[in-house]
Amino acid sequence: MIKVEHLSKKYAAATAVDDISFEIGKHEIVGFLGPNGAGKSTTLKVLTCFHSATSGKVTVDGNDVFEHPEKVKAVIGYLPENVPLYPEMRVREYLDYRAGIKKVPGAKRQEAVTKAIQRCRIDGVQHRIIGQLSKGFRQRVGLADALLADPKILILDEPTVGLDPNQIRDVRELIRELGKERTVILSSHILPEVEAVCSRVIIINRGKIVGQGKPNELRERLNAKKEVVEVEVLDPDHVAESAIQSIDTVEKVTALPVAGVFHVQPNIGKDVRERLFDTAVSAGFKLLAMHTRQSSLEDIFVEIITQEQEDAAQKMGEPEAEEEK
Amino acid sequence: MSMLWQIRREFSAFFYSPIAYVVIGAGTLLNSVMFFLIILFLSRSGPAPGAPMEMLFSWVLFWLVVMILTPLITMRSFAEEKHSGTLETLVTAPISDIQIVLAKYFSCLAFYVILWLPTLLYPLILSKFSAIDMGPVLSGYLGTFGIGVMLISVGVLCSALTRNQIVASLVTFATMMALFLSGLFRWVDGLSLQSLFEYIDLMAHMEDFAKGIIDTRRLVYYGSVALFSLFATVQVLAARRWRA
Repeated sequence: MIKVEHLSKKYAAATAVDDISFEIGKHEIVGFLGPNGAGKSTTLKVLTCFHSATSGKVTVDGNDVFEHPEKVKAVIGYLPENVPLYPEMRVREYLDYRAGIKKVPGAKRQEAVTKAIQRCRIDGVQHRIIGQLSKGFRQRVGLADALLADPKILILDEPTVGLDPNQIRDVRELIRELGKERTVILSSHILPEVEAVCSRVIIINRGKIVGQGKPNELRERLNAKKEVVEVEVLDPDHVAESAIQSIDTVEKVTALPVAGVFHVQPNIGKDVRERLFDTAVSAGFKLLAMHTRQSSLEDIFVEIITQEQEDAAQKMGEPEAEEEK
Repeated sequence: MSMLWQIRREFSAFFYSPIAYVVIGAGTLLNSVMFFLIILFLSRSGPAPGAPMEMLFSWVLFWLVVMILTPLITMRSFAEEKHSGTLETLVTAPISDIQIVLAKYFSCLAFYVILWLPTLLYPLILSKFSAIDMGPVLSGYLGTFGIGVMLISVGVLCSALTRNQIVASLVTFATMMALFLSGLFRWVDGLSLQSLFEYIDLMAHMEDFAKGIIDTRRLVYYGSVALFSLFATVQVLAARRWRA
């Protein structure tokens, strides 16, 4: 459905997207994940023909975005970041106009507008002026606009920003439902969101793809080396931390801000729970609780991003031989 | 079809903002004062210097109305969309850049025409009191429309160049003044391009139109400037997609 090959986008001063390639198939819900300024929005702007790439090739539904923007734009429903709308128009009037320029045939226009309004649950405000609506409603008007022409591909740039928890749940539910018969790409810097909605995640940082896969795949990949045992101890003599540290299969012990709680990271592939129990008995502190913690996508994200930044810092120290080429 | 929807949206957008009412109000007021002064002037004894409508179209005050109000009509067309970010939703809809530019241009031009509609009352009033020659009146309106065709396109181009409406209107005003004043160089003796300046002297154009003289070269001039400006506007809009 969407194919991106060696896409780069350079602005005068900075490189926003640096040689990324990925493919998105039919009926996939793909999450673009990354910190602010990672290049998510820039990539989406290239896909929607708002900007062109500095180099690389992007095809959407078989059409090159640079050669045939009209054909590409016709199959995409796009919700830009910050949801720009005309504040002086009324909701229904706005959607009616948008359906018009999106070439929804006259006979089906009213029906399409009504359907989009119902799907996004904005029936109650359809005759209100957009400028007077709350952020949550404006966001949903933008979403309704993206759905109007029943596009094959939905591109949503931070679709849940500014919504309250109930609305966020509604929107996620809606995205999941829409993803059944469409390709959906959404960007977010909120991890649980991507984990809850997407069938595939592309993690992007500093304009480069630093990881991709199914949310649980990514988690497994990291769990293998990142298993952590959380222990809670009763330890009046303050001997626990050094005692646990002295176990030979323990890699690292971190004391949490809560008194008596530690994260114990074993050497890869080792189970330290039995040794922990024995150590408690021999060192004279009491184990109150112990469980293995699964790392969330959040951990993976932080891990990957920090690693990236360390690499980048190292590279900066090296002589700039690469730049010369 | 997209383009008709876009024209409808652009045109109705004028009337959401108070600027439309201010522009029509100011235009009608200025024209009425002008008409009133002309009637007073012609009521003196002695030979009349010309017909009242002829004077309306060729007087300096006519240019005051055109020069001050045209930038106010065109300033918001692209600058506002850029400022509020709605340009992104607009250009990512399946509508081409050319259609967007033309929709904005035609709705501004339609507004310019509306600005002049109240003056149709003047020949109507005059005809109640004396027979008037409709030929020069019609050619005067043709000239006014032609000037609009040209200047509105300049205004739309200037609006596409900035995200600030005030900057857009000032640059439009400056460009229009340059077009207008360059014609006055014809009066400077010894300039090598004197005949060129004569061709583009807008004031002389309107004097002729007001007398009933339709010189097609002038209409071609207005049309050419309009085509050039609109072409440039499409390029400015497309510049976001240029490859480095």
